[in-house]
Amino acid sequence: MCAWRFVKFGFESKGKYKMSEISIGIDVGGTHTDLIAIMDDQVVRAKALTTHDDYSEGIFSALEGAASEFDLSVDDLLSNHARAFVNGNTIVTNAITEMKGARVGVLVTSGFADILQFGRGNRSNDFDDQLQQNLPQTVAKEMVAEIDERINRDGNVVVPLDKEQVEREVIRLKDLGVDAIAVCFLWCTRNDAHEREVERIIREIAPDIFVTCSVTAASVFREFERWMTAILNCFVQPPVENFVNKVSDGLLARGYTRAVEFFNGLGGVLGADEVRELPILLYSSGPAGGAIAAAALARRYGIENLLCGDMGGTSFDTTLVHREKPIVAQRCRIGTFDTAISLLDIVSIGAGGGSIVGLDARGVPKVGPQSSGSFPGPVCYGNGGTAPTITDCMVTLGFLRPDNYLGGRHALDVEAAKKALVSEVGDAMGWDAVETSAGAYKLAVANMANALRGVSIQRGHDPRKCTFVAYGGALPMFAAAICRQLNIADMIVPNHSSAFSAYGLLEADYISRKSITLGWGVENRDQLASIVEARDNLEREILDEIERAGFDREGIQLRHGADIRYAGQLNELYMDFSPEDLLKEGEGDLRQQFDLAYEEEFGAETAWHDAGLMLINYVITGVAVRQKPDLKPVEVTRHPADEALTGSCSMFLPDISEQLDTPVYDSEKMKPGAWFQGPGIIEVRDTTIYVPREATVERDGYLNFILKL
Amino acid sequence: MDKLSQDTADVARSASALDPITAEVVRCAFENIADEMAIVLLRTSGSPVLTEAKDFSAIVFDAAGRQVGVAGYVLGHFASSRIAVQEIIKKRMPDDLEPGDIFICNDPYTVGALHQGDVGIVMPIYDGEKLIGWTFTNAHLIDVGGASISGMAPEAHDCFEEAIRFPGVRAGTNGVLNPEWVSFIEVNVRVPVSFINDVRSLIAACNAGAVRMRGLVAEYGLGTLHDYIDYNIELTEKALSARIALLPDGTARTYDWVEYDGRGTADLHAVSCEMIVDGDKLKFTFTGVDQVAAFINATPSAVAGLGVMTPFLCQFAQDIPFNEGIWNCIEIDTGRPGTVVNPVVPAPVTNAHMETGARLGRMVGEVLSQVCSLSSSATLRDRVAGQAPSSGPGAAWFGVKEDGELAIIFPLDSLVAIGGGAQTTGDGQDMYGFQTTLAVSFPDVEVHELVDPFFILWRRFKVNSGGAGHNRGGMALDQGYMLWNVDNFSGSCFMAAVELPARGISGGYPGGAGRSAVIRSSDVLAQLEAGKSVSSPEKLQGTLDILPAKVSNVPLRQGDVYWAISSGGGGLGDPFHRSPELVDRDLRDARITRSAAEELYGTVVCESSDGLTVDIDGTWENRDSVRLALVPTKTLRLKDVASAGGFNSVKAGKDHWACAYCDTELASTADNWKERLAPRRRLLADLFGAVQTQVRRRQHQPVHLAERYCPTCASSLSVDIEVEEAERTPPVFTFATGQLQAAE
Repeated sequence: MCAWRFVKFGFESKGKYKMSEISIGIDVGGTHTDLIAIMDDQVVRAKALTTHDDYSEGIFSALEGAASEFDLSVDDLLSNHARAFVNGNTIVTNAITEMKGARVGVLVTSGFADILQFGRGNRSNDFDDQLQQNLPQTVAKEMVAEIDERINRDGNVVVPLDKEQVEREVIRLKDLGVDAIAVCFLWCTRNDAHEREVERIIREIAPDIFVTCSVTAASVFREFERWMTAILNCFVQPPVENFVNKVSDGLLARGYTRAVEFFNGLGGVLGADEVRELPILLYSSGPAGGAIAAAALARRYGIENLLCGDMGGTSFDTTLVHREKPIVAQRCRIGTFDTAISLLDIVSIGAGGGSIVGLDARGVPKVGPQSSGSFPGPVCYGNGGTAPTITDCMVTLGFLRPDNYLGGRHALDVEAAKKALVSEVGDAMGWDAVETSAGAYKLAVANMANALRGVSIQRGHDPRKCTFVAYGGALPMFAAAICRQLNIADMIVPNHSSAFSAYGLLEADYISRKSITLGWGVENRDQLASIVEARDNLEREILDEIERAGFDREGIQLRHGADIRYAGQLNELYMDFSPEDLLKEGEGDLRQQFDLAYEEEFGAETAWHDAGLMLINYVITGVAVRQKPDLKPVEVTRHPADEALTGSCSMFLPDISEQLDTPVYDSEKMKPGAWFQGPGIIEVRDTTIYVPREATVERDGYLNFILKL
Repeated sequence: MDKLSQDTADVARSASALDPITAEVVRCAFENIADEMAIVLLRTSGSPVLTEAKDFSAIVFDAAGRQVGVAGYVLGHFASSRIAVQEIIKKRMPDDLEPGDIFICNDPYTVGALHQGDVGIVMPIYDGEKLIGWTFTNAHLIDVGGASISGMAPEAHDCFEEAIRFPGVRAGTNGVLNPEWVSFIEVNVRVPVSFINDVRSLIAACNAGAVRMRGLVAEYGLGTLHDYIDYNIELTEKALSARIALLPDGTARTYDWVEYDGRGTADLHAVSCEMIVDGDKLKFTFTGVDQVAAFINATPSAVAGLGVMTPFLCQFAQDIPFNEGIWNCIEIDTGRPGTVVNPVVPAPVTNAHMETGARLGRMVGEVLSQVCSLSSSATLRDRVAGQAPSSGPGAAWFGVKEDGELAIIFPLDSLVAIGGGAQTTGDGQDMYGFQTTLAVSFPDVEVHELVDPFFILWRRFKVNSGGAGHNRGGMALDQGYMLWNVDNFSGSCFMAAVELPARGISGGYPGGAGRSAVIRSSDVLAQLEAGKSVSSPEKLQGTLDILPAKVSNVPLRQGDVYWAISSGGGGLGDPFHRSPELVDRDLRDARITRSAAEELYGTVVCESSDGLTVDIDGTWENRDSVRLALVPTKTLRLKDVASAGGFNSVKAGKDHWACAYCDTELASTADNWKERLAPRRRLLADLFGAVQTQVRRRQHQPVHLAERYCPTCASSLSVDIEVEEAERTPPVFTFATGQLQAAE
């Protein structure tokens, strides 16, 4: 456990805080549990190793670190000062990756049980037949019971529910020892009576069994992804429930009486009760934290289009923030499973510090997608890894100094790294370790630049007009080279770069996004009244939920929208509109708006003017605004960063292919306003920022590093 | 570094003085361009054939018409696009070409379409005045006019009856469709709105590719870019050559038949495949009977794309970046014109790809397995696989919807929910699709029911559809649906393989074949009326009308239930070597029946309160006694040889073929070892009938299985398919003289 803090003006000694309310964000990652606590405009960081057996232990040791920084006991901090406590974690992600979760039973419409296994087919776009695998089996065949019932697309009951059969099967599943049951019926989105009745029966005869109706998990059509969402929700429930209880009880025992909030993959927070019912919503909350922090940055700086990136051990995650809002992707995949949940649209490619450098089938060097993982990790860690990685390249090039890695806490074996690079790749190419590393660096940069191009161009934004925000431990070494490749001129490395995701937790609002499948041909105006009624019910449901979570009903912002498509298409496009637009005909109606939105997305003249319009899902997003940290910039006097210059280091700079004595700056001595021109590197405690030749960097009033390329 | 890259590691270094890192960056940029084109196409098109079945592709060419970047969903289009672009170059260059020209291509005979339903767009890319490349996009459109909907005409007698053909004509200029052409097309296809919209999507995708290509030229300069294109083609060619060189020189052969029953008789049309390995080059020679007046004849791209490139990329060149360099290592010979593998106008070809094309692909998969099994490289010896059937029951329906509008419905589920061949890495993939269609999927039940006047009654695995083997073939779909709120629809149904299913390899068994049927005048409506669940065909009363594999004008009325069974993948290795635990799991998961577990896998099945389970020890004993009865010379226990592992049943020693499990010599390598082992012959229809596996019995020229066992360990070494009255030499690799190399 360790803790350190950064206060606005340099680094003062303990005991100088004037105590007021403190907001705490804790991000439980794969290796570290990061804590950010904000009091007024003072930021304190603490860090603990993630405790995989019981994640709450790591959380409480990080809390101890923070408390001692404030010169308080944990109990004092929690009972007298903490105003908010937001947690982000990887429990759902881990449970699904490791396929460790509940024993799930399923009740499914008769005739359709096998869909749970084969879905819609699982062929990938790899050429290789040996990579074509089946979906992992989440539910054994004997745990699936077909139930006689059927509802049609209009919501009419074709085959009534066989309740006796339900009772029989529930008892059988109970005897088989299931922890949870997912109820998966066709067209429950049009008529949920059967699913609800089964839920009632289960609660009555097996009250200890956790139940998820597919209509609860996701009230949208397309049965496979809705059913998978319900099943995965059941699957991840025990570890999440256990964790939520431990954290809530632990905090309560230490005097924290307010609501504990959990960060979800949409970048919002949820209360403990919502999480207990729909634990699946916690999926992918880690990357979302960074995107939300980036959105806050966009707001603070007034940036219209911002690309953000995070490079971890195994992957590079990137997304676009347009007008301060991260983009939402619908119908997301979780691991290999299609689901109906919506997440922030974060693109991930296999380029991380642990990505392995090797040769492809042609003998051409390649980077990733295989990774050395956290163990054994890169060769230079000396944990027995033999495959050279990107981290080994950065050590070889001199970007990571072996005696100063992570503040000297982790010695690095440069020679072993070089040897592996030469034997695995260099020998075949006739290259030494440095040449090999420089080649791998360029490939990694090209891969990441292609991913950034993807998230921007495919959504109609020119990357040259975006600002790139680079965070995480490794990315600031690559980010400037990536920007140069894409002709991006503005780049920001946030202060606390490696804990940026944890910081994002404190910038989140309470978000509830719900949808309902209508399948309404917009031209059928006679159905309008029933559509409006369905919409109003959905709206009420959201308002009730948010109110229950402790927010004032009047302050809730509602965003209306829908998944719409032209008749004859199979994929919908989501579009925002205002609730009264539904009633319009002619000028400004849904038809006109959708034609515009469609052409904005897909290009001029692509709208299907002759086709009908289908409103498939009505979507309402309710947002309750939470209080945000109020960081204010300090006054800045621009001055050369000479006082931060600690010396120089011989490095090979791959972007210009030169071995150079490169100036090294110490971030702790870089005051607001300090600037220099590259080439140079800034050593931050757990990050290294590369500033290439002819680029300038300045530390601004928020202590962020602003690069002009 | 894996074995194969070590073998070819010097390629990149020696190829040229150009920088391999920049070459890779340029290559990724081309792939990226093709991917962006595919995304534009996918997101703007409404056709389910594109969005779910992924029946489309986007490909980038250099100015000389060489492929440089592909976004592969239909591997067959790799051949189509090349023929199309090269034909446009030949016909239009240098004087008849302007920036923004739009050429529309769906004629299989002139511009390389797999069949007329695949509509391609070719556009030149200009940078100012300079031609810098070509873009190609292609999609299977839901209708192209002609005798039958969706471009498949099972009963047409010539290609003029089939569909409208576009031989690379200029359908627009300056990037915009010519209104004259739009009005011409509008009156010649059944669903003009969707056709024209899809063509617009194809054009939009080409335009998106052109913008990016100009960006690359600006970044690198045209000269440097071309140097790197040459270099990447050379890298690919050398890597593939080096891999081919790891195969023994000689000739692999096999044979098959294309089924056609659309004229009232169940005819088999013979085809054969020969693959000659000569150093670092491969030559494929196909022969076939005279072309037939039915839609099965293979167009040039069906041969090169479905026949050769598809299995070649999935099985052999799977990790070598695709570009023109792949083609440079391969020669294809289809012999004299006028045969089913080299047809001429007016031979009908609307199902060229799914019939003869896919059938050639199955043969090529098999000859690749033959030759890979004998490679000196352990990696290549693992590239053997059961056949992918590439045959599912397609059905396209036409009728009047509730709202009075005409509806064309082309449900993809059964057509693409086909099993994959068993792999050395595990059982074949369920619902793998056609081998040529990557990333294929089929729509949800609710997606159908929302927009189509259908009510789906069941959607489940077809039990026993995966071919038996040490590794089992992938499973296929069994689905039934009926009309909902409409009446009197009419359909075309087509399926390639109902009598000759996907074969197993290395002693593995064939997968189940497919079938389509209508349960006529059933009691389905009465049962639903009474609130009963009709969740399986077993619950229905009615007349089972089994449809021919190729048929038009099939009526579907209220009370009829359309019932389709798709085909499963071929097995790999002796099923008596399969772990009894895995057979037990398959039995519990209802992927196989008790009869299949007992007969095909030799397991002892016990009945308990827990359901059916496999007796593990009893199974090994039973397997030994079953095989001892067949092979009295047997001395070894199957359990011992099965655990020796490996998926190649036969290996080549210095002079002799030998059983790979127990080293027993089988024959001199100068001979065909199969001719030295007397096979056990069984009627396929009898065996499959006994184990409840789908196949249609042939009355005339019945189909046999020829099963050959090792005389010492009695392992199944090969299971070949024979057709009575059509004698063939059993397929075995023939080593080139003096080229014998022992597998390490």
